[in-house]
Amino acid sequence: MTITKIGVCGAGGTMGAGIALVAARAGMQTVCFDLSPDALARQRAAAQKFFGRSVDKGRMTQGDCDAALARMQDSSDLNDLADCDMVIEAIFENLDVKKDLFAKLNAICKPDTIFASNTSTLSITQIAGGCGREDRVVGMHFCLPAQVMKLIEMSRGINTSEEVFTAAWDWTETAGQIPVETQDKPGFILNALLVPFNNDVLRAIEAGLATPEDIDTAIKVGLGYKMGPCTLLELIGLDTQVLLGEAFFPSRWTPAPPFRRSAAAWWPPDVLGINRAKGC
Amino acid sequence: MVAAGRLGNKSGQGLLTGLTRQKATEAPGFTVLGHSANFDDLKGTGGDVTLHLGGGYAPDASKTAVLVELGSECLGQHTGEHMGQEGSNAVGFARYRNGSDAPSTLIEIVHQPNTSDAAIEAARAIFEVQGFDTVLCKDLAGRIVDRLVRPKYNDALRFLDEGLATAEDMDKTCCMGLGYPVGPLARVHSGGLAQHFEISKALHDMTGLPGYAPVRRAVVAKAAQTGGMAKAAE
Ligand SMILES: NC(=O)c1ccc[n+]([C@@H]2O[C@H](COP(=O)([O-])OP(=O)(O)OC[C@H]3O[C@@H](n4cnc5c(N)ncnc54)[C@H](O)[C@@H]3O)[C@@H](O)[C@H]2O)c1
Repeated sequence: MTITKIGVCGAGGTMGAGIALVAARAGMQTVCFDLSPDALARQRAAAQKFFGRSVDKGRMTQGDCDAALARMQDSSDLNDLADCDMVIEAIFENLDVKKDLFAKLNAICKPDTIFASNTSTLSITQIAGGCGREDRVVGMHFCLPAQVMKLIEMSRGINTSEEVFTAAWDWTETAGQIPVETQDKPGFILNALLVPFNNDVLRAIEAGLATPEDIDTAIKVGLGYKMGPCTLLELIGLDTQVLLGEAFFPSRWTPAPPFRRSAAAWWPPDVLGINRAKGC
Repeated sequence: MVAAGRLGNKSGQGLLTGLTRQKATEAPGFTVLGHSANFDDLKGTGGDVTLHLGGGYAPDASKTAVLVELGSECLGQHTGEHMGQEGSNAVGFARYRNGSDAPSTLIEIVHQPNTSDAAIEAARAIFEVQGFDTVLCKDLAGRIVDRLVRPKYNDALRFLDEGLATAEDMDKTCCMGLGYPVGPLARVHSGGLAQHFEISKALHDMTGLPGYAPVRRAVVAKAAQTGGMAKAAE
């Protein structure tokens, strides 16, 4: 399927605004949807500035800049997303809020619209569960800032169809991004490796192993990382690190991710060899 | 010695104090004893510091500092420890090296609770004048780099077994998303999986923490190296 019209939900926020820039820059009609018109107005001004700087740096002509901005349509009316080929959500990181959005979109959008989620910590299968088109939902995790970083972690929910995953994957490449494929697991690749590492850094500081400055120097000189982990943690924000850590925190008593996902997807009982009818 | 700097954080909790050290430009004289592949060019006779390469150690209270090259062991294994009060003129040091890769310019300098400041300063000055970058850390398992990075290599190797993503995509994600020059899987393989086993096992023995327990791929590589079992495919 050909994707030419994109909807971005949460386009007034940090990630949504960046994703809208990626889509519009790549020649897509882009509906920038957010509940907050003020946030949309702020991001419109930021978009003009961003594309303006691209013109100054010779990365874009003035004509391309004007055309990209003209392709971006701000909206706080969900009905404006009805004929989008793909809707990418980057709204608050809350399962119920995301599920509610996809259920509403399912009632409004044309039957073949693909839904993509930019979630960092939630399961794609769980977000898709019960939305009415579980086979047309994919994970599409952009990096911050989305308009600059090329990487996208792509994942499928249990019910995602091959056709939908391929179409979404191809779209990311058309938009000039670089996709990698990952399973629908907490943190995908990047955060699954980064969040525990950052926790270890914080534990090391607490244990008085070394100063944060020396930890940064050791990692930069020893491993050649561009940025030390303490500097990165300050950019991420310790509050965000806490939220990420809590979202991934495993406990022996919490249901294992495969069971959560299967339950969310309403898989038939025999798939995992468990007989639901027994009610255990 | 200290330059003013930054930093705030959007959550208002700063980690970095903004203190940066200036590198030393003068160092005391030193005598080198022993040999080490990590310090081919380090030579010295005389002076008030003894520098043991290759893991030897002999206490000498008459010196400002006795420097001891460390492998994956703690300094306390050479000097002995007592009730958290240990410390003298003995200072540990290690040049960071990823397994069999070329050594880096990083020197981790290791101190105990009561190590003398003069001994630490002497160690820093000697290595900085030789062109190395120094950091100071407590005598804990893995010092800074291995303590932080080995669990990440274990995670990446385990994710590979669990099918999270291909090795190429995991490395690409870290390079493109985090700016690493080399992804964790390429790095741990270039340093050697058997070597990773050794370091992780030493860390696990000392800490008991599950993140350090060598993962299956490291165990297999070590077994293939030592037991004459089938070697991993080239
Ligand atoms: N910030 C990051 O570094 C980062 C990186 C990758 C992924 N993510 C993910 O992207 C998503 C957004 O994160 P963010 O940091 O951009 O958040 P943000 O708070 O900056 O933006 C969220 C936006 O969503 C809007 N919104 C909330 N509910 C809505 C709804 N029902 N319909 C339409 N708009 C709604 C808000 O008005 C706000 O403008 C989250 O899922 C997050 O996990 C964040």
